[in-house]
Amino acid sequence: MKTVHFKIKRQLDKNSRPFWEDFEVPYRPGMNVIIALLDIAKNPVTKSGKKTTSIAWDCNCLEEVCGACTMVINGKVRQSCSALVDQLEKPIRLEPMSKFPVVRDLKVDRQFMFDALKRVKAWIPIDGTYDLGPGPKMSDQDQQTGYKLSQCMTCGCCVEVCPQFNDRSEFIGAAALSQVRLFNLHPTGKMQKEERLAAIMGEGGIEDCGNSQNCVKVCPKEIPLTTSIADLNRDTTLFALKKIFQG
Amino acid sequence: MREWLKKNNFLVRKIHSLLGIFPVGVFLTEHLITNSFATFGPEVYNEKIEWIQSMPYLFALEVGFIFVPLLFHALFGFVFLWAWKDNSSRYRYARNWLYTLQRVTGIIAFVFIGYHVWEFRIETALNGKPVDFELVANEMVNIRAFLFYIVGISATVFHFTNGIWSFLVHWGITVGPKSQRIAGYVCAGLGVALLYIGLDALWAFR
Ligand code: HEM
Ligand code: SF4
Repeated sequence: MKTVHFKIKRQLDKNSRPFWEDFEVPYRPGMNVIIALLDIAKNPVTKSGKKTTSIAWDCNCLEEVCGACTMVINGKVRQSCSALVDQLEKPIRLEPMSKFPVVRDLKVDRQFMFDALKRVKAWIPIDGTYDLGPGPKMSDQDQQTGYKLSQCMTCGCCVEVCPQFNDRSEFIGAAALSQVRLFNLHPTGKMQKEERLAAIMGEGGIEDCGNSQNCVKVCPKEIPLTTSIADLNRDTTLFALKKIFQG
Repeated sequence: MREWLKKNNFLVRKIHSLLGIFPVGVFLTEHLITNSFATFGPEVYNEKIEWIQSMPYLFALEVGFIFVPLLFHALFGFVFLWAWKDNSSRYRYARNWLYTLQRVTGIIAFVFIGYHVWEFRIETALNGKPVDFELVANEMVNIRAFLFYIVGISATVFHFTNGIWSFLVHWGITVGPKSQRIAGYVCAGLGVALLYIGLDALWAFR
């Protein structure tokens, strides 16, 4: 029987030391990494025949739109649902993302990503005491730009590869910045444009970007993150000048 | 200090970036071109040096346009290096390499400029030694000093010209990938030109 060799970095809880285990999984044509992990879960025995605990990991949509199954595969961060075994170098090495706290094994806590969206006010406030009526129309061009940006699934690949994002920095990361561009582009969202710009001009904001441009290379949704950042660089610069000269 | 820096992150980073171009980068360019007069021989070079040394308000100009901006840029440069966790060997993209080089050359430039200013500006002033072609030529006889200068000039020129690219993004001047790519070529061309000017002048002292 044809098998595939996996090396998996495990960690039993947040604070324990990581260790590696080897697994041999039956090969199936067209299989992805998730299928292998499901197989290991059914029968958690290592390559050398030792019984072990099953591996924890996250997954949900299985079509690269939710971001939950993101992990580091053969040294590069990506979604495990779209990582096809046939296209990967063997043995296949699986590690949890390194920039988030590990919950267990390959499962990490990406709360930072969602908190970042809150920090930058990545929403459009429309609640009120009366009906505000329909908002202004959005140009076709802005719709096209915005649609691309709206595809972000908060997976965290962009911050995983960012050399400026780590435990010594406060940097908020490319995903949240790009969402500021999205909401500032929206004709109703524009009304809070300056609030969002102010939010990314503080600590850990846009200035902490160091232009390594890794984010745009790895974003699975091919979001033009570096364009978003440069665009916001322009907006924040103009906003700062406005504050200086109109203040 | 930490709290102040956090609160004024935007302003400090923008000043850091601006000073890298003006006046520090502009002075670097002027400095390399002035030194090229060495290729016309010691007499011409010494004449130019004397002209600069005879400028009014020279000390104020040096302090205001060179020492203070350079120190501001360098010291905050080191502060910003704190958040740098390199991954250019894992994620081997051209821009990631340039990002890393920008930081490494910043550190080299600091060591190089520190030494250079010490030996040709501060030490000479303290000892009352004349600064002229002969002084530099005597130093460059030493092969180790000469090699150190080659590395130092290359690193500084790279840091400045790649820094122009970075500046253009940082201020939202080049926004899309195409404009950033073209800016990359222009900065590379400028880098090669400045490097040639710098090294050609250096050779003239040998
Ligand atoms: C001749 C001297 C120097 C010149 C002309 C120069 C110029 C520049 C320029 C133009 C930038 C780009 C700014 C931007 O991204 O907006 C830059 C960035 C930088 N410089 Fe310098 N620099 C010099 C010396 C130094 C020194 C001595 C250091 C000390 C380590 C340093 C550290 C840095 C750092 C860390 C950055 C990156 C900032 C960031 O992207 O966050 N530089 N420099
Ligand atoms: S911007 Fe791209 S890489 Fe970053 S979280 Fe969103 S989808 Fe993931």
